[in-house]
Amino acid sequence: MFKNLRGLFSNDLSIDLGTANTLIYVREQGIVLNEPSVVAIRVHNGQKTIEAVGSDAKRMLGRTPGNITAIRPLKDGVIADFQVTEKMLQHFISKVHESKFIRPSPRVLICVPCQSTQVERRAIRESALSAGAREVRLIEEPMAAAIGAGLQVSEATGSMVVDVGGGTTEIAIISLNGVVYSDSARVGGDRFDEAIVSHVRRRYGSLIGDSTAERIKQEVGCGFAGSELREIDVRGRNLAEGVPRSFSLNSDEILEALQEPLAQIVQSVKSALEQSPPELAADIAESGIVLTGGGALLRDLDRLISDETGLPVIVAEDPLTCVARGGGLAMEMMDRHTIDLLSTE
Amino acid sequence: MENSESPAEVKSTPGRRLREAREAAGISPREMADRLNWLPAQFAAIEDDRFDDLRGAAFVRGYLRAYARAVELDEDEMVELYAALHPEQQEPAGQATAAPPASAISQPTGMSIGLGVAVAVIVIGAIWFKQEGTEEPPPQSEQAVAETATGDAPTGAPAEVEAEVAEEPEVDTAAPAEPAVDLAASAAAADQPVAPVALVETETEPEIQRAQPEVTELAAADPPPAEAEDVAAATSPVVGADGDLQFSFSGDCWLEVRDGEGQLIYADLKRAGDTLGLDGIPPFEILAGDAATVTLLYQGEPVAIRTRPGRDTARFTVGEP
Repeated sequence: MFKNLRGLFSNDLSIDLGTANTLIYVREQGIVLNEPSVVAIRVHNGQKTIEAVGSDAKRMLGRTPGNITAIRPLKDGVIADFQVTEKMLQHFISKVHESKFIRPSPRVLICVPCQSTQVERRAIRESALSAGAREVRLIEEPMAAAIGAGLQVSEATGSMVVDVGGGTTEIAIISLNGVVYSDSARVGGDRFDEAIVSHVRRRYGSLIGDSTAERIKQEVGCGFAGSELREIDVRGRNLAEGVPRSFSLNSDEILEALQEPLAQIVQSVKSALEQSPPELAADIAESGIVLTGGGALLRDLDRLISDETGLPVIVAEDPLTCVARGGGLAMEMMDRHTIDLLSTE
Repeated sequence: MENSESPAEVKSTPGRRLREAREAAGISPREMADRLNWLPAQFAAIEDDRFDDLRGAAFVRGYLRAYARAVELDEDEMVELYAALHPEQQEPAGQATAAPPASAISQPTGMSIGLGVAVAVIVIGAIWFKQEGTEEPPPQSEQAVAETATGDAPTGAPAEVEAEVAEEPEVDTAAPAEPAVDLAASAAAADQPVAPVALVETETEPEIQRAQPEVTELAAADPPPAEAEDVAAATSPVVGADGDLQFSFSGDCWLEVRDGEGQLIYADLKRAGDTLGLDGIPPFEILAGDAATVTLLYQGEPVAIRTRPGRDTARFTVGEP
């Protein structure tokens, strides 16, 4: 009962609980929160306390003293640490509500990977309920991404969405408000970062952190061989000498480093196309594949997929927020028409 | 349709701009369509600004960006030109993603509703708290219990009892009322009990039991003073190893038992391994400080002790008719 009363003071939220970033969308407000899914925990006398959440905690990644650990509670799109996820959600939900007097109790729609198991979905649901939500709905990420990208999901025409997230790449073929085919590859932005770290270690004998790897990916990373050549200067710890050294990297070698994860994404897209019903495949061949998610920001990833599949590939507007925005729109659609876009638990 | 427009407007359509850039680069339409993996019809639709032939604004924006990149034009400019041409095809809701400050969400409901609800919440909360409060062992009764358990017995007992039980006066001095109250409080919180007091308490236990026949005898023989009657009432149901109620303890636990007449017949801290038998007038109202450590048999039948979620204490009644 108290949750319902508190609900009067709360907004409906659509949450993209991602491995790398958590985004919250509020109706008529747009994206109100976009923070890294990172929590810093201080251990004092065996007791754990939350030191920082989001951007503050991300700055601590790899720079923490012994008694503080900055962790990412989600792995491969699903919850790896239940309690920390709950605390993180609680923090984010209260952060997007103005009133500090009444604890918010919003209705929440959370996007889940389409290949997540019932246990993983339940963990996400429970986590949100414990974080104070009064009602939790789940939607499959590619469906939310398609709605957020502005595709006409209710039409009897096939649309293919490839959502390249931090931990997973979700691929789905959607028609008539439903997912016809879906697949989830456990490869995403994090794998790109790892590939860059290991490339730098192999090639330059130097160790760089995840944050540096991410910066390299954003600035010079690319997915297609014909791209413009770019360079970046980075510093890392030389493994042989043990002292920081500076060196420069170019986009060609980063492309080489990213070959393996990129090949996995391309392979998943191809197998989705192989398994799609012929009528829908024809629709996709005509209109093309839509890329969403933070990974779609990798330069010329669309050209790579287009080249490999021979189909038009477009990057959605503002791909990073597609899922959260789509979730919010889906919530409105469900309220208006009671359309069942919900994923079954 | 462009024919009727002025040259400046004609130049500003995205299709025309892209076509010009392609022609300037010397690329044939077929070659460009192949490079982008587009169908020729689609390609023609873009160059001729026939955007209605394509599948929605999302795709049009994507195509324009891809084409602009291929001919090295500014992608954003093309999308802006398209938006100017088709203002009705606005970007999806919430596209303005310049995240407002964290606490930017205004409260959706009217202030009056909010205040009304807040008052209701406070009233309901107060009632709820009051109910919650009665579940807790009240501190006053704890004090009374402590007095009954330690102070009253020796002072109120007749001289014969005092003479019989040599340790009783010591108990009186060793465990004055105040420490006993502390003990009761700490036991209720399932904390470490205060060692010396607890020791005295356990030592007195058998003594009171040994004194029991004497007390009842006295009560039967000649009319005792009023105070002695109270003691008899307070101690008589304690019968040692047998009785209707059989307690055994696997840990430290504060125990209070009231009989059917509301008389407090037992109140003490029990230690791990202790057993206790009680008799009296049913039904018995029992309060156990740490219910998980208590095993109870009533007339030989085991009694399930249920606690409220998140609490160790249990208050329950056995022997109800």
